[in-house]
Amino acid sequence: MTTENAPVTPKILRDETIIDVEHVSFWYGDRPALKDVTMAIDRQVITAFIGPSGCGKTTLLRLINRMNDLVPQVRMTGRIRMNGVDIYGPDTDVTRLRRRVGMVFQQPNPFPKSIYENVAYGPRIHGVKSGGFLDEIVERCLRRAFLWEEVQAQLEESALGLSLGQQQRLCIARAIAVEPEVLLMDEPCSSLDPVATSRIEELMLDLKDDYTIVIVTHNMQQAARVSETTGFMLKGELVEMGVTDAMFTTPRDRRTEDYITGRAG
Amino acid sequence: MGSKWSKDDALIWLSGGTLVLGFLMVAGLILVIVVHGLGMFWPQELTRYELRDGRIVLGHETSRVSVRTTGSAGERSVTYRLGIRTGDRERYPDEYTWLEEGRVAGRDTPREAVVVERVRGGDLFGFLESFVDDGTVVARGFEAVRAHYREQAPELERLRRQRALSIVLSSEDGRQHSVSLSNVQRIYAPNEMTTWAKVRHYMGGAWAYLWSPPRDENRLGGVYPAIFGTAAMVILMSVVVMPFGVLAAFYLREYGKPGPFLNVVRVAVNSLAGVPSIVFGVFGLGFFVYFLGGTLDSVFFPADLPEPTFGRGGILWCALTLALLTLPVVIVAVEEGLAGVPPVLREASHALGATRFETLWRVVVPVVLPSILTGLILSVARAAGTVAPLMITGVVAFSAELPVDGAWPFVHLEREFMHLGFHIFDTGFRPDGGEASLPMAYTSTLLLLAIVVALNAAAIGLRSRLRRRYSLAVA
Amino acid sequence: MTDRPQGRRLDRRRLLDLLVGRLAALGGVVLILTILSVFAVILWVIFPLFSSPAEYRWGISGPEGIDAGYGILPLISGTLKGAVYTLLFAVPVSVLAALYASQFLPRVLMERLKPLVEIMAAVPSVVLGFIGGVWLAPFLASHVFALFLAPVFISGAVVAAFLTRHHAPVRFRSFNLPGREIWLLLVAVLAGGWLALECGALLEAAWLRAGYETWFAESLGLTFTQRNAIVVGMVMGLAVTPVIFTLSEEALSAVPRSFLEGSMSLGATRWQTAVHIVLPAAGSGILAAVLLGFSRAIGETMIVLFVSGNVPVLDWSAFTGFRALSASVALDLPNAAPDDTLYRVLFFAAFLLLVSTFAINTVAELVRRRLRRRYA
Ligand SMILES: Nc1ncnc2c1ncn2[C@@H]1O[C@H](COP(=O)(O)OP(=O)(O)O)[C@@H](O)[C@H]1O
Ligand SMILES: [Mg+2]
Repeated sequence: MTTENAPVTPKILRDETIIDVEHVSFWYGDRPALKDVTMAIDRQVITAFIGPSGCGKTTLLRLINRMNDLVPQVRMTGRIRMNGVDIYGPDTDVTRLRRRVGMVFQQPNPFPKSIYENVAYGPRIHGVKSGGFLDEIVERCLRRAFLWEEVQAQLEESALGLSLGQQQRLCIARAIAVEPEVLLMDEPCSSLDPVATSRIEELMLDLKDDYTIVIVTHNMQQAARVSETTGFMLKGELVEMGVTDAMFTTPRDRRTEDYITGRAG
Repeated sequence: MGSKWSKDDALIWLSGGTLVLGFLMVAGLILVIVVHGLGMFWPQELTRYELRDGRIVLGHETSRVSVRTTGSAGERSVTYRLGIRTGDRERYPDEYTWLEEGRVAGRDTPREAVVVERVRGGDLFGFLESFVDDGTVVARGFEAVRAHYREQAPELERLRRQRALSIVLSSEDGRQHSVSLSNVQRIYAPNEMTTWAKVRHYMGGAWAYLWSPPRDENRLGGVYPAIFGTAAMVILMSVVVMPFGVLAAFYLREYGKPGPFLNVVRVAVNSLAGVPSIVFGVFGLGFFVYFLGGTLDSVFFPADLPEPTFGRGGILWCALTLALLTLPVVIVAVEEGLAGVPPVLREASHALGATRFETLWRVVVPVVLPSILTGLILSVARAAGTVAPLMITGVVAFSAELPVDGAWPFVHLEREFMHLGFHIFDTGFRPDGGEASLPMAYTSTLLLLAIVVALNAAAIGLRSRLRRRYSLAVA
Repeated sequence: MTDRPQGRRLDRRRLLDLLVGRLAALGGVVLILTILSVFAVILWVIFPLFSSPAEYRWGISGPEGIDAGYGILPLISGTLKGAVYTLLFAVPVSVLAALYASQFLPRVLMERLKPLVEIMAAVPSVVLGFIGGVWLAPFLASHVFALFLAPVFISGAVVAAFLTRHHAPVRFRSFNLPGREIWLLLVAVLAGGWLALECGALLEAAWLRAGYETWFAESLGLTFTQRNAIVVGMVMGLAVTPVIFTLSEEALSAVPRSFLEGSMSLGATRWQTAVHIVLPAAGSGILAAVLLGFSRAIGETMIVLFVSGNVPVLDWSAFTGFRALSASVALDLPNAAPDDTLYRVLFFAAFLLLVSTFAINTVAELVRRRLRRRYA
């Protein structure tokens, strides 16, 4: 493990950190995927990570809700804290953590169940039984995901019949149905067309008042459009992190500049 | 088009020929089974053969084979022999006789020739002579006797107990047989049957085959106890193999830690799948029958010893042996299903805070349910067609008792039982060459084949529907 | 807010998760114990044999005290004889068929063929054994000349069909469409078989003085029995053909297209590419398939029981039968008293089958895995 009070990358906007990542390194087998990453994520802000593919963005994201626990033969050093508590500490209940840190994946991945059951899945697992209350949750979340109007007549039909864009919004509704504090989104638009993409972006901006959103994207325009803070990663390192506008106009690091101006990659 | 091309293309055609040849050979063998098996219940017309020496034989031809002989002067000749099914076991051992075709002077199909199927003693062919009630002749001649018989026929079951009524039958050469009605299964005159009557006769025969017990050392009657025994054993086996197979598959794919150990286990399962069935039978005899059964006997049934209760072959031991044999079948099918569940579904569930078990139960199991069903069907098909290990762990050619009946405790796990596959072996493999049981063997072979093919087709259909669903889910 | 577990519900969830995890592990343990116990139990029974004279294990005829009247050596020889004749039939048929199916048959047709092959593989061996022993053996025993002629005539008919199609006027070339040749092949194979039967009958008329037994004894000095190794080879061959075919086809289809294209771009024909590039590239996979077929043939019981005649001999003639380990176990074990020497010797026979098939299957599976990784 590493030192307690390592310097943290400059804090931006509201000084309300929800997730603290300190000197995190990560290996798949012997291959390093993250090298000494340190950063902080602020509450109710959209934070974006950009970088060429394979640079470790997904890995970093999956460390925050401990999805990498499911991958065999991995190793991590460093510390990640949420609200000041070490999420890799011995007392952490992983399922509770994941309930508080929701995730939306690159490929829309609805369960092969009905639309209703997809949204109700999380609440059911966490103990909601009453049908009426469940109905309310499903409707609220679908409305929140701008999907209700389109699917209210076909709640019992298979979610696999929806278009990809609708499926991704369903996955967002499913994620917010367990009332997380943080929403991790791993290239949520990479398999969608421009119209569906802009709907998701709209949705993100709307959700930001209630959730802390961390989005991974390799689309710089998207990062510029939606995020307030952006981090640039390269080969497992977090090269720099700061206010989005500043980063795109006046990058501090040479490598960032190269990437943004399209000289590398 | 150069000559080079055509030579190479001819080779391609030759390789295609082997593919076609393989299929044709299997199709041919199956065709033989179908033709023989379906023919069993069709009423065969009776022919009367008059030989040059004045002998007369009544029966129907089953085969015609050529015989080559070379005379003393070296002249060659080919003659033909007719295999005739004659019935009447007392006169013709095996109910068959051979006739030299050249010595047949004439043949006809007398309208009044009848077949008398007896409960015991096999069939008789001949002509109805008289109907006798308690020593008095009450009717004479074909029509009159048949009328009397028809009157009594619906009550044949009741008459079984009462021996006063009998029918006198004269065979083609004038000898007379008296057959007590209590011993009559059925009488019919095939030569005067209309096609429709033959169809009805056929249906009745097929029905009786499925639902009645065997008669006459399995040569006649039905296979109901064999079907029942096979089904009971297979159900018992499924109850054992399904939970273990599914759990083992879950262990291999979901819970076990991936690594060299799991790989070794997986290879071992695969190799186990290829171990000959007879070896499982040997294991079953040594472990289940003599060790487990012997232990059970000495603990629970010491009063009956040395007469074994569980310490000999029985349906439970057969079921356990086949459970072992089909374990890899279930594991492979379920594992394939589990491997096909997209990992993103599991991740989505975990990301919502579900535990491993919740993810398995609510997301994975519903998706692999058809695979589990496929595993069940395939293992049932395999078990229904496997005979060798049962021969040493408790199957018998004939058993008067069913493994499940009305007597306490209703399910008799220790009983020996009849099995359709072993019925084929028993009727088709008589050391004395027993031709008489072959029609039965063909029919049972057809039945078993139909069951196994239907089960496999169902499993294949299920799986292909499953694969299509995945491709939809991925798209 | 902390991440510590709170409330009863959470505890129950974790407990259930843990419990099912243990249950699945138990399933795994049972699985491993099962595999081990098969070996252990059989070894346990045969153990006393190792302190007795070697004839009990390897004797050519049974030592006194074994009432079956045979030793285990003729049984081993018989088992191997059956397996070798099986492969002599099955390997050429299934590997050539797999080569054709993987390289020259349209994918659509192959997809339709697959379930058929799978059903063929599922035909119970008692069914094949019965029809082989009761129908095919007598049939072949009275058509031996036709049997000898069949390979030549069928190949001839196929080539003739090819030439007809090749030289036919263009408007009759609809058979040229990919896959259509299957129907022409079907007719050709049937015609070749029929011709072989007819010519066999002519030869019989010309050469046979009495039955085939006499002809074999007089002309070739060989014993001929109706239930012989050729029939076993054909029937058991049909049983293992689907196995070898499926696995070979899998291996052949896995050869990357780029290999084919590379070869064709150099001007090689489809057949040259198939034989010189695809076949060697899939070689180890085909070897694994043949090994599996061999192991299946070693342990096959019902077919051997019906078709081999079950007479223990040491000769390897194609025209006599044999007695196999598996058949002996099935026939004699029901009559052996537990713990008597015959009982142990038969367990030893089963042990030989177990060890050899397990070893062969493991090798084949490892080869398959390596191949799959190579082209993954
Ligand atoms: N499950 C895994 N096993 C082994 N290596 C992995 C795994 N997932 C990702 N990697 C490797 O880790 C590195 C970072 O991957 P990732 O975080 O997915 O990058 P990004 O999301 O930025 O494209 C890559 O080199 C990738 O090959
Ligand atoms: Mg990624």
